[in-house]
Amino acid sequence: METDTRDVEPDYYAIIGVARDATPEEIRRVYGEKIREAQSDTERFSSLSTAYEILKDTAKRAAYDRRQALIPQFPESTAMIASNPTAIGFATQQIGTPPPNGISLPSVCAMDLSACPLRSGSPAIDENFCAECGYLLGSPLGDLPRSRPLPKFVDVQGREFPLKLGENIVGRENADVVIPHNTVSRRHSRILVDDKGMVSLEDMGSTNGTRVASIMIPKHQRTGLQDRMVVQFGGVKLTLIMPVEEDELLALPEVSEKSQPLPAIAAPEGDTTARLIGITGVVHVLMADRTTFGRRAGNTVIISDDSYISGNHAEIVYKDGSFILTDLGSTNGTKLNGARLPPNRPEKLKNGDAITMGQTEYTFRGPAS
Amino acid sequence: MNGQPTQVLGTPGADPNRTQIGQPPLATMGVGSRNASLQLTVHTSNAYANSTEPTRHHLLTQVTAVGAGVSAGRRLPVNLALVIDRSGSMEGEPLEYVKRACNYVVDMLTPEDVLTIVTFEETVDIIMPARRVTEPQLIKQHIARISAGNTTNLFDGLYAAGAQVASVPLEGYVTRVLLLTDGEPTAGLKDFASIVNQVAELKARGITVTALGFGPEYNEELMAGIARRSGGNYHYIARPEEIPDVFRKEIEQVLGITGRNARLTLHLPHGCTVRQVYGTTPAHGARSSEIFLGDIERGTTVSKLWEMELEARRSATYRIAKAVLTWDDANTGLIETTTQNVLLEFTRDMATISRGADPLVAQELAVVMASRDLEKTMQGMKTQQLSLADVTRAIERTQQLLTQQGRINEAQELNQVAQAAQRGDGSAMEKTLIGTIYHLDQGRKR
Repeated sequence: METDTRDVEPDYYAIIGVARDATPEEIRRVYGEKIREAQSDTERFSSLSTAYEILKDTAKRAAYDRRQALIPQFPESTAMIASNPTAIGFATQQIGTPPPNGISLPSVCAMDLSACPLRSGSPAIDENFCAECGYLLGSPLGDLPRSRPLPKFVDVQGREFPLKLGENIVGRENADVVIPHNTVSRRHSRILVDDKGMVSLEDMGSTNGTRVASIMIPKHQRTGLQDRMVVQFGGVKLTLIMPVEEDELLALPEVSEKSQPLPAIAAPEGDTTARLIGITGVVHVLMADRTTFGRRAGNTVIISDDSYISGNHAEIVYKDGSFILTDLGSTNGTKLNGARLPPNRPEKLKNGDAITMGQTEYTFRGPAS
Repeated sequence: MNGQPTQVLGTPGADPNRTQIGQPPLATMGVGSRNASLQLTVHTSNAYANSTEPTRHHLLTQVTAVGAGVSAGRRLPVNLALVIDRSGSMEGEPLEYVKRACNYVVDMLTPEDVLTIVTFEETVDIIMPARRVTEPQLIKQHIARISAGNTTNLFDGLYAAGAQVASVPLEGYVTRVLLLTDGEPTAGLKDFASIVNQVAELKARGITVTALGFGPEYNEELMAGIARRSGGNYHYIARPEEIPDVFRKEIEQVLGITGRNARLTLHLPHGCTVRQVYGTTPAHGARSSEIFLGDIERGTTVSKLWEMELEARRSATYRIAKAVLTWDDANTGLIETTTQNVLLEFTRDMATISRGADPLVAQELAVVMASRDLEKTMQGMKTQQLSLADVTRAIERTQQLLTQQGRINEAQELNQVAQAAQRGDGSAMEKTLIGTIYHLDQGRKR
């Protein structure tokens, strides 16, 4: 999908160091200067040439500009809110969740994933929506559903057939799981989902029978099903997908009790959380256990507008009353107050510390240690 | 209409203090050209959904062809075949009215259009192979010579006409086969499956078949099945003098077509699935469901009701579907696309949910259910489980409902069913009723 490339595309203008409306001559001139400086730095050299490949070609540059225009501008871009009369504003106070404005543009998809009960797929953006779960970026997030996720069937194409608690009739029409295929009987099988999430199945005397893991099951007799089992109704094969177990869910930082933002001790006027503040005014609220930074999906803070950020770049862990910064072996390094940190060596943070990941600069605001 | 299009957030009834985000201007990107002929609107049965447990919602999609009448704007050239039953039973008045109807069709066409005329009895005669309508008088002389024969070889007649239409190597034409018969197939391949499969093959080549059944003897399930499979129309013609009028309506519709090969796809996020589309069989992909709407004429709205299943999810606003309509446009001459984002706010506040219902979708659901009721009535009639009085009561009830919902054409058809019931004419009842069910399933409204 086109959208998959969109959110990982770096800012080529920033890489070369020209304005978005720079003339082709200007781009060529600045590129010429930068590329000479970068002779010894292979990564810088290659990112410069990639950027120039796109920006030197009028058609490619126009296409790139269009793609960039589709990326939503988020909280820090107040100009857009003002220019869009229908956007009244962004909710900043949500009970039980970090304020959405504490997360910058590239990390909104981390928010998606925490909003998405399935937690699957990459956080691609289509228009203003998460391409996976459909979440409208920036819309106020509320509570997680109280009910546990339910098992479902998936067909060979990937189409999902959700199951509900209790009885589910599988049949050709007017059923809970409708499979419009002529080898499926009107009332083919009955599936029971109990309140512990266990799934069992019974053939209801169908014409063409039901197979579980390729074996024809006797009619009117209950058979227990397990995750990833292939069930064949007549000629149609469906795979059972069990939901992620609840304790596994709890292990994910997004829903962990400990993950509430921790009040910072030396917070100025009214601000109550430990956080990193970017030079553009971006604020990342730090979690009470672990906050990860990187380009890849799955990080607490996803930074995709800096091509010097590694997939898993760095983490900040809260332990024994201190916030501890560790570079996770990133390519371009993490600097603390101007000094590059050796990889995988934890370093305690003090209020006001300057942190640079790749080319992205932050100031740490937190408890004075 | 009271309905709120779903694209508008901040529905009346929502908590005014709640922070809402308007649809950003980006969302309208991908809309067809300014003078494109089709428009898409999507309504949801409720602007809110329960975030705490799985729910079912209905989506109403409406595709409207703007403008009205044959003369408004450019029209597409047509590649039309008339397939006429000239079996023995057509002799006399019926065949005379058919000839009159064919002459009318010739008069409506221009040299831009291509016409085929095929007749069938025991054998098939190609009266006019696919040719431009340059000499209407000559064509009419051929029409005048049509005379009645013996048996009914419908399969071969349809086959010959389809081959003629398909032989025209021209792009951008509205293709249509108009089939008129008054009896059961009695020669050639006669079984339902062979004939309907042939129609499916024609459809795969982009050729639509309209099935016109005349008199009390034809097989209404076959004719309605042909129309349903192909996406064409089905009409029951009770008396010979109605033939020209039905041909006129059909040709006016064909000449008014401004969007061809329309198809509507819902692209779905995880946790949203389409259970069914009433009256239509959708093609399901991994995360999409698609229906074929075929050709749409000016002034017509095609409504489809989709039943969706939504999983519980964290409270927030989600796009539960991205609806994409594509079609060949007569006005712009391009393949056009228009997109609508269908948004729902998931909340656990039941009071909010109870305020978000859209009456328009509820009305449409009532019409769909009426169609299901009619199917049951028809079933009961055929198996004689329902008495004539039961059937009449059921028909009258549905007729009232359809009148209330503005489905005037279908309500009138049910009136004819009720009249046939009074005459004790079971054949006319079934032949009309099967058409009403099909017309409700088509969801077309002028």
